[in-house]
Amino acid sequence: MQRPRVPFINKDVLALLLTLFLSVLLLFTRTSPQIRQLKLQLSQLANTIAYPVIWYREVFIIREKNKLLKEQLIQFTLMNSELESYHRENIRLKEMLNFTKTQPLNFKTANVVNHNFGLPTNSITIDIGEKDGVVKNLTVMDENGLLGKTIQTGDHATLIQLITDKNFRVSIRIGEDRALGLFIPTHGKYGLLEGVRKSMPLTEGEIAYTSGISEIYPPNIPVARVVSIKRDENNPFQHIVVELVGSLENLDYVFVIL
Amino acid sequence: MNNKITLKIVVITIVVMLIQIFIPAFNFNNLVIVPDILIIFLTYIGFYYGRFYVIILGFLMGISQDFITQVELLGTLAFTKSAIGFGLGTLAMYRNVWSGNTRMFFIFLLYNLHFLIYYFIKFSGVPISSAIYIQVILIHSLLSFVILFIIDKSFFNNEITFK
Repeated sequence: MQRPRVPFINKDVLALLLTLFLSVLLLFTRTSPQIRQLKLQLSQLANTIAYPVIWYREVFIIREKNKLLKEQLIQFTLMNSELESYHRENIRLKEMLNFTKTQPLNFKTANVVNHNFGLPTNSITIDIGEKDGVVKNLTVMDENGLLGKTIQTGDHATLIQLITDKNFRVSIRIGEDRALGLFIPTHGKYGLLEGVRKSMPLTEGEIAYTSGISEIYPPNIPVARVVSIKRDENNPFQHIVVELVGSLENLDYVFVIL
Repeated sequence: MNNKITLKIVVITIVVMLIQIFIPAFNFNNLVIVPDILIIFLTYIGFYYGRFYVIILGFLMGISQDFITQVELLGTLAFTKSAIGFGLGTLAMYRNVWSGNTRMFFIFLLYNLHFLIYYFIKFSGVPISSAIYIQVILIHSLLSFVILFIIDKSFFNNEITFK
């Protein structure tokens, strides 16, 4: 006589898993300070648990990256010598025009430990926090351009609001005249530049930089590249579609400007 | 569970929820503590009808309680009540095995677990000392446990606590 099969997951366990899943889903759609703190704590915990796995994986990736970086280093060395001469020329010209000196940017490098895409706030968590001098409202970028700003800090972790978040706005300058505008994300890596007047000549491929008007973002950080431009007779402003310069795919590390 | 019992449970659920809404609260260290009648009701459901019904009912009651009292933490009580529902359902499985004392100890542990998770989420990011945190959990658990004890003695002939 065959023994009846006892299912590993019975209806009680299934009901428990389903109700817990629904509860957690509801809980994480909230944006109250407690829930944000809880998310931060959970991502810190997940980071601690996953550390050996990440470390093991990174050993292999680092070798490949090292090879690429060596190639880039040669390119940048050549470029650097060229830029050095431009820099000296620039200093000379600024002295001739009596320009005031600007402060260089100080930044800290941080590893990305958690991605929260799809939640109400499009965000990531990094592994540096208040103990490393990070505070709220600092600019975050990668080697290509702007990525977001810090919105919540813990001792050893910080939550970053990404540039792709629906509530993210940043004032920009673009074109030869350095006309002011406002970057608004739309979907994926795309966004719009609002408030750029119609008379301003623009071409596809031009880069919009942070204006420096905001108290958060320093000037001249690349934000987005122009993809298409439309000029409507009834509208005093251009309809400019842009794509982000900063890379949000395979985000491993970021720079926090202090 | 037949239709008559289901209807009876639905009616009692509504009555218990109404009692929960109007039950008086008291203040402890500037924290408002409301006795949780719902987990007492869930204890009886778990004891008589087992895990499945108590998990589902716990989730529904928790979510209703969240909607009424704390929309900004929606899902917290649904989570805690579903989780302890699984434990309370165990009472039905061991109804004839565990002694009254074992049952009481187990229920008290579950109540503590319920309030531990609840206050852990509620106090996330709130600067509060561990002593007050533990005191609030114990007071809330003890309060619910004493009410269970009184109800069990008065209306259920010590069905859970001593038999």
